[in-house]
Amino acid sequence: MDARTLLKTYSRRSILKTGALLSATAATSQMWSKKARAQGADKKFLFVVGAAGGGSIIDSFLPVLSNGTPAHEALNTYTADLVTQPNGSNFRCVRSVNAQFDILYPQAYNAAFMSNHAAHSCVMTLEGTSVNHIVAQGRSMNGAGVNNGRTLLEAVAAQHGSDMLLPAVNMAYGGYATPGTDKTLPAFAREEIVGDALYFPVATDPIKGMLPTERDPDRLRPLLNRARRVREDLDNQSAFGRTFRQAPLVENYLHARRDRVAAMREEGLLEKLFLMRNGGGTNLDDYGLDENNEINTILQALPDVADDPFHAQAALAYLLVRHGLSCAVALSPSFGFLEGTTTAIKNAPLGFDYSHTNHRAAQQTMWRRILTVTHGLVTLLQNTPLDDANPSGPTLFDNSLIYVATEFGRSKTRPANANEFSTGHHLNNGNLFVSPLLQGNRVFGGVDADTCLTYGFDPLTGDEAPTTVMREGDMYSAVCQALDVPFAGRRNMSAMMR
Amino acid sequence: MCHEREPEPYDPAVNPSPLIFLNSYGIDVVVALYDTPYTSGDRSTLQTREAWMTTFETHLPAALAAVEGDDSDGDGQSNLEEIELGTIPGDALSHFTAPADPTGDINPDYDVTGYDARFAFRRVATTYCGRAPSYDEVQAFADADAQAQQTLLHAKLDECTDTNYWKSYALRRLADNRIRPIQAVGKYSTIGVALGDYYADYRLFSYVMTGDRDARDLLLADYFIDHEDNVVDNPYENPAPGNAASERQHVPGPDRDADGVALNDDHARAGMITTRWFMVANTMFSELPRTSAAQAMRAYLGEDIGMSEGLRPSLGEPIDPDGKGVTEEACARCHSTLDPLAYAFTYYEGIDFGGTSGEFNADRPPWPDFETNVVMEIYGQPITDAATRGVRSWAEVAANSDAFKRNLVEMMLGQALRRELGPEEAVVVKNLMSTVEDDAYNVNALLHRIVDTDVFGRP
Amino acid sequence: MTSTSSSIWVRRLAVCVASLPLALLLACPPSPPGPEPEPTPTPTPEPSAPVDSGEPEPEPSDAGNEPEPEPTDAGNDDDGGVVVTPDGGVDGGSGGCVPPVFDGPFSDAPEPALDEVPAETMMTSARGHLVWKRARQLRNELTDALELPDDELCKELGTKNCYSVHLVALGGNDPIYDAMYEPVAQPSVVTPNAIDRFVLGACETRLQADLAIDPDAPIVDAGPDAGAPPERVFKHLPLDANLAGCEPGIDVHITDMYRRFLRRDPTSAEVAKVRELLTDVAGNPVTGADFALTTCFAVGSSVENIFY
Repeated sequence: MDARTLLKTYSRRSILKTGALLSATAATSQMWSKKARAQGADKKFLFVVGAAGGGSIIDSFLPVLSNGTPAHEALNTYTADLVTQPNGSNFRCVRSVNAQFDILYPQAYNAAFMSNHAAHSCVMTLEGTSVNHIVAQGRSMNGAGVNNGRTLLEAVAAQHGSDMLLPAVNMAYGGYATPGTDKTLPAFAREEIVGDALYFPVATDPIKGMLPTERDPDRLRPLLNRARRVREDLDNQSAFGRTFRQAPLVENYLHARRDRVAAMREEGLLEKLFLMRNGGGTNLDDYGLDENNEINTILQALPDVADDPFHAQAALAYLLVRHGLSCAVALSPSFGFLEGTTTAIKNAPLGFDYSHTNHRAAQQTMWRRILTVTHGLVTLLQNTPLDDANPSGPTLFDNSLIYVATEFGRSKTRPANANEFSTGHHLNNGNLFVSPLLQGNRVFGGVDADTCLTYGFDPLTGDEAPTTVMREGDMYSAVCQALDVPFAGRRNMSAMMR
Repeated sequence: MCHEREPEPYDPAVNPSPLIFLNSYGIDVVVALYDTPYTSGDRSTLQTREAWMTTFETHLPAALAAVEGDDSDGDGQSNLEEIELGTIPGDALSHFTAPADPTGDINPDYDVTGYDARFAFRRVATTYCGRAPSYDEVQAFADADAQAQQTLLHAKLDECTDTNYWKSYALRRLADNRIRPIQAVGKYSTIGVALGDYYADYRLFSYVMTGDRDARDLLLADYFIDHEDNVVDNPYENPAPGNAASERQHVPGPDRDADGVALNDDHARAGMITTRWFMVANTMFSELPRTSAAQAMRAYLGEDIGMSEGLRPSLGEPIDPDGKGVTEEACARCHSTLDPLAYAFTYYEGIDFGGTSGEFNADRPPWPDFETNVVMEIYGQPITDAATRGVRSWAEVAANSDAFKRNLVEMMLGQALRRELGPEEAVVVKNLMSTVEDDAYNVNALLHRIVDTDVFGRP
Repeated sequence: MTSTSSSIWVRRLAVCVASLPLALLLACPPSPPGPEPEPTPTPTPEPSAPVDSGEPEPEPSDAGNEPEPEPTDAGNDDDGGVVVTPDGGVDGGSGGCVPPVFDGPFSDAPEPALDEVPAETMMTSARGHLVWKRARQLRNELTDALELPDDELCKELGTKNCYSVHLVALGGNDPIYDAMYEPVAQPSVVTPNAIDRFVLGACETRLQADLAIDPDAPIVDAGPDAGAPPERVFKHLPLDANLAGCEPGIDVHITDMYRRFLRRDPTSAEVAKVRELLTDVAGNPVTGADFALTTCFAVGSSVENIFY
């Protein structure tokens, strides 16, 4: 074996895992008891909304107004009638150009969103480093490795989530759910991957809801609890248990089963997070379950929880943070096609990537999807106090940051004056942030009207810097700075901070 | 290995010495390089990137050898020991200590002092059959003598690797991150946009990894496996007349799975990295498919170039024909390796809605004088000749490389142990790598060796 | 299970039980019966269609709802018949069944504090490298142990397949619909719950299937193509009756649970520990059905069945 090969072998995969894992495990054995609804003022919350497929900023909040020249007609510019600027908003908002295209009935939501949220929204231009969906999605979460490979969720959870039951929860699609690669990450900060948001709450209890009421679960539950107790003794005393007691897998599993599950049950996580309703063939009472007493409030903001996974994710994200269980959550629509009604497609096939087929229709359909759900989430957060004991005080939203991640932008050219055309992947783009922790009603960076390419800004002053571009590491740093998450190599993005 | 953090460009006003980026091991290596032009201060001979790289590479092996007996970070293990174990010789916190031998009374149920055949037998069945052995099998095994137990264990492995669990499930899970399916545009797309059939890739992967076949076909196969598990050399024995892509997509034939494969001659076929789906998923619309090249390295050589692994720079590269700015120093470090391989993938169509996705196209590179401007070599192999242009020439070298062997071993050992391999497995990996060639790259043979190792069978 | 005659259903349990002296049925053996030639659970054969059949629907995936065939490889031992053979001689002279004395009250705390476990004196694993038995493997073993089809093991709220709902927490991944290309590296915080629910659901499904089988049904000639008659898995217990605690079938059942799930015999200490489930928290006897459920759950979800 040549030296170079040997050198490569494990040099970047060296592991100190055992110590870190066990010490982190010990840290999580604290009781998460009655503090759930009393969030500390220093707690910050991150919501990453993944605009899967390539959500273009110049087709939402940074359009280039056409000047009528042939050059502009060949670029993805918009005529004035297709752009509107809500009162008090500094954002130019793109309107729908197609009433209907093929299976899509795009109805832009950009202006409506900014009518409500301009004051605490900002756009940051950014040019990524990959046009591959999976790779770019991952980089939009880990800042292209700027923080030792930690994802944003992991970084925020490590900072704010040591006393939470589920500090980081990732429900997003594809590369947005790629775990980080930082070997020094405390175990408690690892992302809990959730595949089914609607059913996830039942996984917070080992028994409840498993047996139909006709089986008299009230009678059986104590028997099953005794069975759990007997099982603990069996696991302690069996040859297997005695031989492998120190095995990290066993040790951590038993710790989770004995202590963390107990904490989850004591906190009543199932009831707090439950999202299902009676109806449509489901009778919760048949399984000893009840509707969440907040469900009506949630459904007003997110009406399709039962049928739309993205709505269910947002509802769960809200409840996780609202009950002090999480501080970093990711959600996203998938590439799957959701039909909805004949005039309101829920999710375009391939999400934003349907832009390969019809760019503007896909962008408006999917931006509407992203923004309506984000609006619902913001509404819920704005109406929930940070501390139950201080209902008129700060809200959850006051300490939150919503980052609309996306993997890349779209190509900037089109057939002359076309409203229906296809686009490919393009590194150059920008991102939307919704947070009172950032300067609001502002675009950081700009867009070159001659090319439709965005450009960067001075991160200290906020001044436009037309010869520069911002990178994933800048975005990552901005989010961490706003959420009080330090790390070596964090770039100073003070211009964006409120 | 040598750096505490990524080095920044040398600028006397800002970074007076590049040494500040080095850890203790890196400093020792640099000191060993001291008498060479690299650090002597005479940088007049280092005006070109090529000269710099040549000097560094020329003298590095001797410098490394000079310090291998030292303990740069003072953690009690020599630099060479740490390199062989996979820990960082310049970081005192990174070291490995083998666990102490167990002490105490004899454990009647598990032989924790060494290989426990009963433990291994159960692990073989659960790993490769997907279910524990039956009670009767366990009893029979326990009653057998040591030699009979070996026979039973290996017979069980043979039985398991012939099951659908292994062939159609477990191996496919190994392939997931190599194939990366996207349901919306797969064969069963619900929106009528079937760009390729990733199941053809899964079938090929499983076929190559089973049946005592040569695993190098992961990179060298010039055949396909149809949906009835037949080996198909050419899915279009009687291609439809004309060259229109739409006609070529619908050649009749009951055994042809036309949607899954691309129409390429043998010289352009290289196993898993030239399937239609591979190009659809990785090249997509790229003119210079760096992602495809990176995925080929990551999936089949275990080298993640995003983490600076697998660097084998071609002198004179990167040229950056598509103007992505990869000639910048921070980028060139990796792109001097990645771009030449990406050139080979340039000749393959990515997503083409006309139906030619994944097909070799000698005229695809859009840049004028492309082949005369770029360095068309990989591993020293020229790829300008029409007969060798494409991924095949790279694949033939890669498939016979140590990296391929290591990746194969790590893939299967990692699959068995279900954890990231570390210092404890370093020697095992090295030993297994030395057997791969003698076993004709037979994965089943490798598994038989794996189940006999201490790391597999010791409780 | 292979019938000795393809045309005649034989109620083996009824025959065997009926052939034993009544005294043996009623006496309390002084010690648990020894191991008996328990049949190896024979899993249900899977359809032989290839995975990629070329049919448009349903698409093969790991979401638990595809017709992916997996031949069963747990062995094809014939069902040698269930014969209750108490260990050695049994003193049947006492006549009535005298239940063991149970010391009460019992703690009903669902999650006991992790007691200090005495330091181990025998050699333990120094390396501690176990492997997590993940979703598909666990499902396979549950189907083997409980003789149920894999898509009928367990449903959340009676509707959605537990395997699909908890796939990620069980260590699986769906690369097709979720684009999840790697499973989680280690059990997550909800994995114990997911496993508990999966095992409990499967045990409950088995119990209900057993209750629907009448072990005393008369022999019926259903023809050569009828296949084997259904047989209870929890066949050693009188499911509908309260257990007095001295039925010989109790220890046979416990042994059966260990053989089905853990593929070994229990120690006498383990049998004694599991027997604690013969009463509820107030010391009252439980039914055979309750005991079947709790023992199935306790043994099936023990760590020995989760890691290997």
